[in-house]
Amino acid sequence: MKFTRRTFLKASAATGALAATSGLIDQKVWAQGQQAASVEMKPSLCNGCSSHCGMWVYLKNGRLWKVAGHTDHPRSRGKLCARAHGAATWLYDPNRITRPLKREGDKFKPVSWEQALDEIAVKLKEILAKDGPGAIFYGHNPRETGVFYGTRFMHALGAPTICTHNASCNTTLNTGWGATVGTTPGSDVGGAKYIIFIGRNFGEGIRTSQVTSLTRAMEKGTKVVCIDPRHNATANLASEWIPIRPGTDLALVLAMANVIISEELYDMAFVEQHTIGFDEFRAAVQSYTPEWAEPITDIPAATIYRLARELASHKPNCFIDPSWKGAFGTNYKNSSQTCRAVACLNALLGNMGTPGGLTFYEGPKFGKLDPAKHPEPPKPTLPRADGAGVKGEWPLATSQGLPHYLAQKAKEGKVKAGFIRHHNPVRNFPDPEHMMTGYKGLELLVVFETHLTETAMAATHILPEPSFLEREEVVEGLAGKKPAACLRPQVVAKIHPETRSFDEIIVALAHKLGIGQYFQFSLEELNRARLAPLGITLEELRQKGTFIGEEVPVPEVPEFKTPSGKVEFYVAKFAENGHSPVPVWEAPLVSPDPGNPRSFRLIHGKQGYHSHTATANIPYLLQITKDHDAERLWLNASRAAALGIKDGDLVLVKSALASGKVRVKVTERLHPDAAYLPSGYGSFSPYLPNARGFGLNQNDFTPYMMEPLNGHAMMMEVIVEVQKA
Amino acid sequence: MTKQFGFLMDTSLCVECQACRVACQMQNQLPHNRTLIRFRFQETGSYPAVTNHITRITCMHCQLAPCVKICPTGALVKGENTLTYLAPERCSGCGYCAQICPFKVPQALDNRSYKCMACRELVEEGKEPVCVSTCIANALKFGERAELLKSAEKRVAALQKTFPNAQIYGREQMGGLGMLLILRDDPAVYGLPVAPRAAGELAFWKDSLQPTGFKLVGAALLATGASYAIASRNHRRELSEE
Repeated sequence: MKFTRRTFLKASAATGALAATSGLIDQKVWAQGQQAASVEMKPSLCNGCSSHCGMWVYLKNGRLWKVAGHTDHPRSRGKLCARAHGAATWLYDPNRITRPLKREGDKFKPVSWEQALDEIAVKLKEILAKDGPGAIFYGHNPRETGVFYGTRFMHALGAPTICTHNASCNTTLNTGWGATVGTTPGSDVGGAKYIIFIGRNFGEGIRTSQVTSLTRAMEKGTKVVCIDPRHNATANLASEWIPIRPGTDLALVLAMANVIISEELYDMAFVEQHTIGFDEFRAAVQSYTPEWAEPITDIPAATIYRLARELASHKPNCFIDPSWKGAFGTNYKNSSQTCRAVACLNALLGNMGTPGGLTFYEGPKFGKLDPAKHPEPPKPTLPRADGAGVKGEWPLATSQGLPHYLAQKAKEGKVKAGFIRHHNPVRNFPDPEHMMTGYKGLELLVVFETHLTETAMAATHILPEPSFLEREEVVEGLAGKKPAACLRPQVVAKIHPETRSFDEIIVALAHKLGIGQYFQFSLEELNRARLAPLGITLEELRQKGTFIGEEVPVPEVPEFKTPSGKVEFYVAKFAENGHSPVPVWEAPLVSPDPGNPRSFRLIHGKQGYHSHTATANIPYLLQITKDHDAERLWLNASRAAALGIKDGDLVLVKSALASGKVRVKVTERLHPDAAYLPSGYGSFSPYLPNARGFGLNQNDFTPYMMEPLNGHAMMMEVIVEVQKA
Repeated sequence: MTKQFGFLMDTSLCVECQACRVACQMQNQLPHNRTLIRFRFQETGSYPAVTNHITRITCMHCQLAPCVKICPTGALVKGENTLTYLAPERCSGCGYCAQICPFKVPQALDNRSYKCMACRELVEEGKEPVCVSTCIANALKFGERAELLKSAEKRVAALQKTFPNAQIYGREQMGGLGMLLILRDDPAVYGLPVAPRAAGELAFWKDSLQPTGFKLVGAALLATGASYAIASRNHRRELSEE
């Protein structure tokens, strides 16, 4: 789409002359530039977080001007959050990596592509010969290009260990929802009459169109209840905020299930026809009365009764949100079971696939490369290096893997080489010293990045990728009533000629490693093959960015991909591995000392304008933090008063692992047990000069731990002492 | 017949995501440390019965805009749609607008004024300003002011069930604001003046001196003429007395 821009100001001819004579104002030059500008619009997919919202990129005289939401894209629906507007500026970021780098000691030396790839290939062959493919891993934030090329590369090498960031995010959902209904469902926000969020915070853990749907639903009268230790940005617009003692959400959900079952408010027909293990679940929750939960959760029993009855009275057009990281992501020792309990409670409402309930949509059915011409490498049969799914190690861990355990394995000399793309485990898992020591100790660590992150600091080799506006990627799919196909085409020419996109690098490496036979196709051929069955060409998709397919009819009750094909209140594989097959109460691992006024549980969460530390170095986004003092630690006003801490005071935060100073936001919007830290700060890479040393990061205070059921990082199981600095 | 256009911000729907701020910076090609949209937050109540009140510190598009009246270079003008436009290339950076604004919105920096430009080129093409089009929470609307007022009245009535002080701000202030706000509590909670007035000494200049300036000059000329006449008469008298 191309058009010439209208004159910037109707009156500008006159004013231009006026300004030219005055000679005082440099905006004159700016305004004249506006008039001459030719503007182009090209589609892309945002990279400000992993939602990949569809966007239009506006170029003015070939340079990035601005971005706007793509109206067709199901996740943006024409709107973009601050991160999208800010992340586009990565294009011209002076802190980008522009050439391949090799680490020598703690210094990075530019090397040629030829040298970097040769060294990587030689070292990897040596490791493969000596230790086998079980000693190497690939880690990433799993999005289409990385999934396709990374997986194929690893499989071609016979290497089974592919990890994602999820063990520090929401792998508990795969465990809990996966075991109960076979997958993590979506939710029909727009159709719901009653919504409970437990820790989920649409306003700050943003997926744009979810927020839009929520506020539209609220304008129509949908009741929204926010349960969170913190009065977060969603609680701000919710009908009701119910603060809960952090780490005790499981007790609340069990007590609500108790009320709904004992008062026979559940959907009996659904439970009868579509579930197994209800009797065991009923027996398990029998003793969990609201009166029992009150002292644990700090929520009055009467409120728990009311919530349970209100929720059930709206069945099946209601839900407890499936969530993301909040409350029952990878936070507490009981998070997997909390997720299980939430899934079971939703099942009691019979809301599986109903309007205003949980959704079970599929993505588009992409085509594949011709298997005769391009045979797929065989799936590796070796056990994973991180023990995920391995008997005797972490049999119930998901295939998302355990990057923090890999650091341990590296320390033990059992893992030798790693490839990491668009993923920063050294900063984003607890205990950076543990992570750094492990990853830096690898014989070979190749990091594919645009920026020199903390994880890149541990690399032996850093391979620079172009930013997301400078590369075409693999076509990606979105599940929905109408499944969508989306593309990130190349919007501008490469800014730094020595950068190469991931697919190019993997193909080059594959040829050097003798597995080139699996990569005899171009990205373009792959994308054409994927799109073939959908009725849109690659050329059209490059123009449109987003393609919405035909509506796919869904069964009235979804097919549950569980062993029984039904909703499982009782999960046999949990019992087989020594865990409770039905959700039962389990206390969090650690708790603040009630006798110590300085003792708090350190909790964290996102702000709407940052994607953890990934965006902290972007000047436009960091300035928001600075303008609002938003890196401060939140403390409850009465707790702060008892410690003589006033709003804006500097405090010392101390755990067994670390101590650090930060200013305080004294607030009524937080449970007294909690100290809340926003999660986007405390970068320590010297190559991220804007973000480095700004604010504190929760992971500095939290030890390396693994949750007993699926091995996640238990990121909120940490007690800190806070005192005036 | 011109129609009044305006913005409506439902502060009860804002999730403080700051998308509007950055979209605006990009649209207007501002550096990261210059913004036309700022926010103010105020908590009321005590744990756990607490409300967080959010409002934007942004041009209110007063119908009777003192900034437009006082602007010596014509950089600030009223559009036909009654929005207050700023043409930075005409601005001398004198800062009078910053001083006179009843809401303390414009900032005089870098030899120019920084305030909402109302996305003039988009609006004149019939499109929404970028802060509105990017607002992920439907908290911002743009359109005919009369329509916005109607929808605000409905929303306020619904909010009053939970927030008895919920109200529309900007119906009357400064001749009616082009930036209407839906508030959950009294304006003072949001740091907003109930009866805003053009600020300070400059207001005196604008309201009294500037409009009468020409008359004063005329009066001065008359006075000069009169004194000339008197002086020459006296001079003649002196001559005759000699």
